[in-house]
Amino acid sequence: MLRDEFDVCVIGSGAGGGPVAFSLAQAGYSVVVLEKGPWFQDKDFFKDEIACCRRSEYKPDLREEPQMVERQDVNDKWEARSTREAGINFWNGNCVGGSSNFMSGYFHRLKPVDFRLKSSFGNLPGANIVDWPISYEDLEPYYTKVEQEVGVSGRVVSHPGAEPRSTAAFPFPPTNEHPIAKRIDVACEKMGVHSIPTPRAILSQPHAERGGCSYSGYCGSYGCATGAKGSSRAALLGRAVATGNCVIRPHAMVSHLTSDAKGRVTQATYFDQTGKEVHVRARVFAVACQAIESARLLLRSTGPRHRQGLANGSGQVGRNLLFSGGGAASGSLPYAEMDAEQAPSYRQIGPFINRSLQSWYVIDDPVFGEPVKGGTLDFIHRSPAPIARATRQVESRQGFVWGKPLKRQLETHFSESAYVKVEAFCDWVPHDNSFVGLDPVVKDKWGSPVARVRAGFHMHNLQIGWYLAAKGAEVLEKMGAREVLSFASGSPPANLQAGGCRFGNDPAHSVLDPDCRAHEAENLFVSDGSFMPTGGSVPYTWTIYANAFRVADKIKSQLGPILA
Amino acid sequence: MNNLDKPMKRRRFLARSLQGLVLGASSLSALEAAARDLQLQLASEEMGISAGQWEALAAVLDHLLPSEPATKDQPFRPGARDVQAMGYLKLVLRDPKLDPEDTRLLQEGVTALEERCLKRFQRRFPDLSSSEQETLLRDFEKTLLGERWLGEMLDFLLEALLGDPSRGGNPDGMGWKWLGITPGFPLPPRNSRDSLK
Repeated sequence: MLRDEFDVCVIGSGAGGGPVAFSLAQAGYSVVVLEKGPWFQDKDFFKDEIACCRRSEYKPDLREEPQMVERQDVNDKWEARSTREAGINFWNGNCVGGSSNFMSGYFHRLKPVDFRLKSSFGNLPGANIVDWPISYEDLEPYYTKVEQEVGVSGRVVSHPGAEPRSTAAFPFPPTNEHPIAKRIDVACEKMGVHSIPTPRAILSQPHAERGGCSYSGYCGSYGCATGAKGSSRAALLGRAVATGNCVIRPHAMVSHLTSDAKGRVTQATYFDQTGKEVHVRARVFAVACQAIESARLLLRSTGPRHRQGLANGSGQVGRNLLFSGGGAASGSLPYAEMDAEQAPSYRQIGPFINRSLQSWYVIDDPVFGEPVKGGTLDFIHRSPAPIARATRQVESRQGFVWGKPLKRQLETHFSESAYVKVEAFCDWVPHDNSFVGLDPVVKDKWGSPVARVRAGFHMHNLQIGWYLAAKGAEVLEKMGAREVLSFASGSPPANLQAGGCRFGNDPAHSVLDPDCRAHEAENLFVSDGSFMPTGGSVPYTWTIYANAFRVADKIKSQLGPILA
Repeated sequence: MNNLDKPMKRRRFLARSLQGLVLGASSLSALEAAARDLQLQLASEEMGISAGQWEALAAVLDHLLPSEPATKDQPFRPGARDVQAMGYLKLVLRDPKLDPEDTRLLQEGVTALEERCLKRFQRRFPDLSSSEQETLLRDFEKTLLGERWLGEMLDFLLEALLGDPSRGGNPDGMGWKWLGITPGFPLPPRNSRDSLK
């Protein structure tokens, strides 16, 4: 008979769930992890562009599990469309390990200023910027723990924007670098700015039972076949199961959290692969389904003390949803302009560029008047995925390109240049038109209301995005790149989600307390990126991992000694 | 944002009546004959697409990505038939995960193209010269349905050219070799999708 009672029930197995399961199982508590998707192993991942990126085989079928997205039409009215139609998909990895299986692993810590954005720069008109209830110093030990437990490779360098570290070096040496990295360094030196080796959640060498990077060149969006990528699955969950204290149940779609008259969560109900309802009881529940789906689960889990949804007495669940603001730049480096020795080294697929700039993390430029929060520039290869690249070659202002002209264009595109991209990350300003709720009509295949996301952006995102993208373009020009383009966008990057259950000291304006425990349900924790009241100007994954390790410690304290 | 989701472009089915086609009197008999042929071909429908329509699809694919045999000065540059684009398309249509709207768009588009073809040239698409095919397709591209349908055809064609060979196209990585593309590794085992074939 299936065990139905545990110390801890973790819902979701990605970067927010893995550290909780791992830490508590290691400490001797009984843990069950409920994951709605299947459980793949390293050997199940292939570099198949059609699987990962054309048919989205690692995500739910949008016919069965759509989400609704609201966008503003030309009359400023919010129009809702199914993600099946809207060309955006907020699911990011429907399997054990979640979206951490498919990340690129550009790992940046937040900086001290990110924890006090309001006190440093003030609020913006129409924005809901607040300080965090904890400081960088509170999270620093956990960033270090992630370096060791998840595995972060890199090289520590001194630069003006560097955040304090408690250790001198990363535990793993940097991954191999492409010659483009050196070219960026030279250009940045000429410009008087500091290029930084980008830390990566990718093992440069084998460690324990995980292999080192195989440098296939197909990393972000693809599952890792060697275990080098620091997914929650490869880095943590296998070890959690090995303790004998952790059970992972794939194909377990949690539909409801039941709460009692005191407001405490008593059980999780999930549908198993056969569609049967199964109940699990636990002393503590940790929700980590990624921001949109975590809010959705709380909102549909009403109870006698939670009439508006679990922990939603304040009406704050789902509010202040965050994505990542930003822009991008790109340029080409024609092989014809290189010497005979250089060109072959630039044609290599595999080694990483691994360069970032944080010289404009805080922008002090008269164009903005007072100093403003800026962001991070990451230099990366253009994705090698050939179908995606080729499909962009068929479009022109005059219509589709086909026939022999298309063939000549493909030959040129794939053979004549190396390409560099710059991605700019800045704060997604929290505001009232970025939130998730329940759709009043559309239901998923289990009959539950689907998430309805309004992903409006604040104009400030665009201003900073354009500024940073232009800086990226300047570096590309200095590198001698051709066809340099830059742009910013207000569209939400669907893979960079946070917020929706912000933590804080005031129960009227936050869902979680500073320990990420629900103000209104003492045994409910939210351990994914939902807790973030502001997102910082870097990808979120390292911070989500670090905070989940911190939450695990808070859960341990709450559970107390292990009962025999 | 490297792993931004890039789903296959959504093509919305455009409901367009196939009835009410107005035919020019001068070509009536030729059209009647062609229509009889089409009726016969409907008997051998495969996946909702008649044998005649499959021929039209093959001709369209050949036009969009023509084969170019190797010459003394030029290497082999594969086209749609070399990369087994038709076979790939049939496999895609059998995939239960394919959105039925994509299938409907494909059927709807080829039907509309054939109608236009008969109306304008009184011949079927495979029987047109290359320049006539180009004229017809460029004309079709200007319609909403035509644009979506051609977008879908080009999407599938490029998947057949550059997708993993286990998917049914790109035999022996022919498309990759032509364009000097280094595929990732590990690749799916060659027999991993036999069940689809």
